[in-house]
Amino acid sequence: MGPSITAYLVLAAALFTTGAVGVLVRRSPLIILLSLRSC
Amino acid sequence: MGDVLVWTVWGAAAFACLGSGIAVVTFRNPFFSALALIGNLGALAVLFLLLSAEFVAAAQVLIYAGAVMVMFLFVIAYLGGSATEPPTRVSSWQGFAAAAAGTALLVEILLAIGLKGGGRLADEADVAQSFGSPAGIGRLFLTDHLLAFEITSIVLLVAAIGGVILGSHSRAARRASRTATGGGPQTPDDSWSGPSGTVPAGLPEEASAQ
Repeated sequence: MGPSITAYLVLAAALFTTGAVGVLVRRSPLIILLSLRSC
Repeated sequence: MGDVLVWTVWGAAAFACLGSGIAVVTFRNPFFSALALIGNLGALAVLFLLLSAEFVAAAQVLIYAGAVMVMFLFVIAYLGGSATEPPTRVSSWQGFAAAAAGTALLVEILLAIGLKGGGRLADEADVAQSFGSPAGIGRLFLTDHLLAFEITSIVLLVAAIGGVILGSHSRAARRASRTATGGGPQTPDDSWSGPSGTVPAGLPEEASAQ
């Protein structure tokens, strides 16, 4: 019956990681805000 | 058959979500980053639909992908190249606040992991059938959470007024600096202290003859 809650949690963790990397690595304040929103 | 279809849609949405998220972080141009974020929010809306959260999916598209991202694009167009410049000066209290917020988030995550490991987060919630439906959310807004709902609307109104005031201040400051650089001293206190016999930029030539 479709993906389990674990699949959603793994996807959420990967998304959070990309957003956190953007916040930590990028220096432009606008990109930081966009990265925060993509978390 | 239905299972395969759900998995296919989920895989496509997850791939789009991750790809657009990486694009948001890696693009150099903030305009393209904002466009990638719109794709990210659209893919998230599909995932919400798969979770039977129709209201959240609609709100995701209408509010975030629509209103908020349009505002972001306006800000990018308004600021132009200065939108990508890092701040030149960061005060010490900002560093302290960032460290405190990071520490609080770390403690919260460690607490959640610890509670989960100890089996204290294993209680199943009693979720009603109408939970998450537009009718259920609307009823909660106007009954149990009416005060919070109205306070939020006031906060948004204050933010809108603050944005207008800040924008008008910065416009006035820009106009004043443009006048000062292009039109010379504006007040009697703006005395010229350059070498004698020279005329500062913007002053009429008769000033040197006096």
